[in-house]
Amino acid sequence: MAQGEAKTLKYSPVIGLEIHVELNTKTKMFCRCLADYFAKKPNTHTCPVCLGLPGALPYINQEAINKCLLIGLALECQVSSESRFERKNYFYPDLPKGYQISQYRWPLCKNGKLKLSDGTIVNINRVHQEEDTGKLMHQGEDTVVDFNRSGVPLVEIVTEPDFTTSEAVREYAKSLQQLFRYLKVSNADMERGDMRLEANISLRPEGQTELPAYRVELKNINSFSFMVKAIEYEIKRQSEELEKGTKLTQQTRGWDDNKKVTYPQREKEEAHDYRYFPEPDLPEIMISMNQIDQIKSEMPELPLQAQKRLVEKLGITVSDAQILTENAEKLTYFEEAVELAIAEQVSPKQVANEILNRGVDIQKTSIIELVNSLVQRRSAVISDDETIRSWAKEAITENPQAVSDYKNGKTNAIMSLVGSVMRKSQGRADANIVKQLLEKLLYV
Amino acid sequence: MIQIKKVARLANIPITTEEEEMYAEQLSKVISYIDQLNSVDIVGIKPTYNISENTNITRDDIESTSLTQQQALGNAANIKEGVFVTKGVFEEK
Amino acid sequence: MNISDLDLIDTINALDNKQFSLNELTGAYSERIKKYNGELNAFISENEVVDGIPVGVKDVFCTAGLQTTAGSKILEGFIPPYNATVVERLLTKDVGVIGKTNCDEFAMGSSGENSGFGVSKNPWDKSKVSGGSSSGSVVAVAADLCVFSLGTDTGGSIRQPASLSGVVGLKPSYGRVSRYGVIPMASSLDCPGPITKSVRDARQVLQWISGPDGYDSNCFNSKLKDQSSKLENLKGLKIGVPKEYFGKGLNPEVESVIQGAIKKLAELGAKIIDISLPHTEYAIAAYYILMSSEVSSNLARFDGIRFGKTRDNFGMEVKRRIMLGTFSLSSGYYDDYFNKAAKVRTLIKKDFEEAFNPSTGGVDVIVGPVSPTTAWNIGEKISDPLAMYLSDIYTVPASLAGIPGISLPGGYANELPVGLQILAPYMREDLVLDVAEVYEQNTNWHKEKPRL
Repeated sequence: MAQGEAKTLKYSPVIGLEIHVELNTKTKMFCRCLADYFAKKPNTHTCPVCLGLPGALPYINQEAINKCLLIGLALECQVSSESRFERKNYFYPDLPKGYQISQYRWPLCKNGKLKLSDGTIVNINRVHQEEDTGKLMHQGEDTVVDFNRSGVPLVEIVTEPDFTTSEAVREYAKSLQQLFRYLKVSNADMERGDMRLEANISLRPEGQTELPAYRVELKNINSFSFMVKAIEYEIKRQSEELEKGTKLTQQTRGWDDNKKVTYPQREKEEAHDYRYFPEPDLPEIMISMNQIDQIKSEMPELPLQAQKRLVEKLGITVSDAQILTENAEKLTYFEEAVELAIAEQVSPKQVANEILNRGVDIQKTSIIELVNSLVQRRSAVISDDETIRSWAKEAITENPQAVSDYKNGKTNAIMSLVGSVMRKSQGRADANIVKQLLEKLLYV
Repeated sequence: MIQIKKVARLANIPITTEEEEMYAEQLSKVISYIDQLNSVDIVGIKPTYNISENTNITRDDIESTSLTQQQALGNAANIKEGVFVTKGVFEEK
Repeated sequence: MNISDLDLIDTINALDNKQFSLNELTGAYSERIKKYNGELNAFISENEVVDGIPVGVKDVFCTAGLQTTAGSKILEGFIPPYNATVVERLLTKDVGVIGKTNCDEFAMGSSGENSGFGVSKNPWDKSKVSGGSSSGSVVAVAADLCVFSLGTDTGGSIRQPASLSGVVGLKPSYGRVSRYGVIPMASSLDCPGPITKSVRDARQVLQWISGPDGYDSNCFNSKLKDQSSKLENLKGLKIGVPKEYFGKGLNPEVESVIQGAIKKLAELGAKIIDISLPHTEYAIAAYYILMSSEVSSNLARFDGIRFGKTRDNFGMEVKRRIMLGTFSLSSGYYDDYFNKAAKVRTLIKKDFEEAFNPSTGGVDVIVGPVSPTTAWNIGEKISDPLAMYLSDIYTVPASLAGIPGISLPGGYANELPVGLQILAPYMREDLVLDVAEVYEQNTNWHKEKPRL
């Protein structure tokens, strides 16, 4: 191909994503040590199994399998009727057994999908169960290892290379984070490392259907926005390289947020020959239709289903519904408020509006406070002067003490008259109008 | 043909040139013996990975006592302040 | 009465009847270890305090607070923080660990010569190997240095040394006995089991150590039924003799001992039936692929960080198997080696299933030799690994099929012991033990003792 032609080529990105999520089970994947390692004294949550001592054997935690299946089913995967654990062999100081128990040929779940907001489908290749490694830390000259994290259950979700933009990657990753929280299978906190993203990205000439011969893996990136930046940087870098005629090869890169660049990372030696074989210490897992039905029946409502319900049943707009279902906590708050509000004849739309547009802090504002303020504001619209006037006259007759106090200069005393009118109106009168009217009546 | 150097690197086994020759000879003898498996008719035969014929052997999510930090570190050659010390894992930055 | 001549059952009875005390018992054995271990090299380490009936434990079983080396220099000084399930169970039965017995490094070998701690000598002729890999365990029992011992059998490592050293060695069904705390060689094949002075002892020890523990997932449906023998003779029993176990390579003197034993079984009422296990010739090849693949992975944890020394401390045979296994799993070879071997394993398993199939007139048990030869000279086969591998031809098929098997004294060839092997269907140790016990009660081979 002549160089002039090469320059005119446009490239389109091919991006796939791997997400690792740590499950919030009580104990580890294959042993009975506590799985919560965060900020614990190093090497105090270990046993022969997760330390990889000679002679120790794994034993499967059923709860982890259930949570993995829950994720798989929520992503519309097929659950494998026969599934196996396998050994992924490589040497690294944080990998105590010299192999990770993972899944390769027989994953628990495969062929799922997730729909993005613009309607495009992300195909999910697999959802499989594995175990986490220990944690390497650098202390001065030394590299040290803490094995508290070793053996914590991890689920890996691998997409097909279906993404073409960094924004779609972000939306997908955020949707999965939201899903994990809805399913209550993980805290899915990126900063703590509960959830980790790895993208592989390569470019191909527009119109080409086969996959490029290389791919760059972006690893060890611990926030959504860094991932977006890294992908965008890579799209630019790779297209420049390709335009120069450089032949790109398999590579692992990280993100340097100070320099705003990706940089090559040293790979595990022989990283691509993991010598997978069936884990002989663990019998096969067979999942029946009954078990799948059971798990499906325990599945909580998912964000998309909740959105649909808010739109169809409560008349909330799609964009508001998306925000209200961002997390399970917000959704619960909204729904409880709506229940109370309907009894007070306040519409769900008004509740949504209050939460979304007035920036209500759901941590600090109780549902009752929220609804009361709505109730009061709604009454302001009803300003039937005659009705209020007759309640005000009644209040004056019934509270001679307050009236005389007011007339003697205690201006605050008017508030008890306002309160009296509000009670008569069952909170539906506008307190300001009531006050003005009372002042007028008492002045006369 | 078995590439001893590559296999040794994968296996994380340090070998000398002398050993390399010896292993090459011994292992190629063993492998050519093993190649008689090629004459077995295995069409339609399912592999046996686990002889126990158990399935779905799992446990409940219930904790039991872990080792103490001292026990965990007790056999290590190089430790400090509750952690294992290892050779530096080099990372370019 | 000579205390150390007694088998386990007699020892328990004597203790119950107060014929001697526990102190006298442990004293008698400690005395013999002091006297004979120097030249036999059965034990790698001895326990200072023995609080119970003395058992010798192969050094692949983790013992809390007691050095456990698996016969490897890489683990010299390793003190496990936990007991293997089997050890834990024996401790609750008033058994005490008298010492950790020698073995081929990580149980890899058929002669005991691959130990990092020197070869164990055959008590019948100290210039000969004891067999392996449970070398020290058989020597300790044969020389009455303990009441019984524990071994592991992956491709014959209990049965073959038991044969060569003239003791009873029982390989239980795969999954009958928990492997938790047993330093593995090949996880899908390893079977911990007893090495004893009598068949009834093997039955007793199996009763103690078998059954699920919640730590070995493959040891689940493993509870033993009532184990007391009801057989007085072998009337009505069908015994299969596989022609593949009597081919070229079988030493003629060993063969005549085994034929004699088969004749005896017939005299005791059994019906002897010629059978075929057609895939036997492929067993060694399939075994070496599967075993070494698992070895390469099982030994990856020895990185010198959490325990043990660095990987250059592995012995030659261990390195050889790690390399072979790494090769057969590596990219591009999995289907041709590992997976093909796993399919051949299915065929070998089917050979036995068909031979035992009652609906097609199958046999109850299978008998044959354990090893093609008696014990050979120390050093004789050390430089030819393949020749050493091939000597496992009669034990490996049962290992691949996961079925139980025993070696018990069946006679002598040139004053060296010859073991008789009895195999039964999966989880039918009761049959193996019943037939073995009838044979033992009607022969005197087991009463012979080596002159030390």
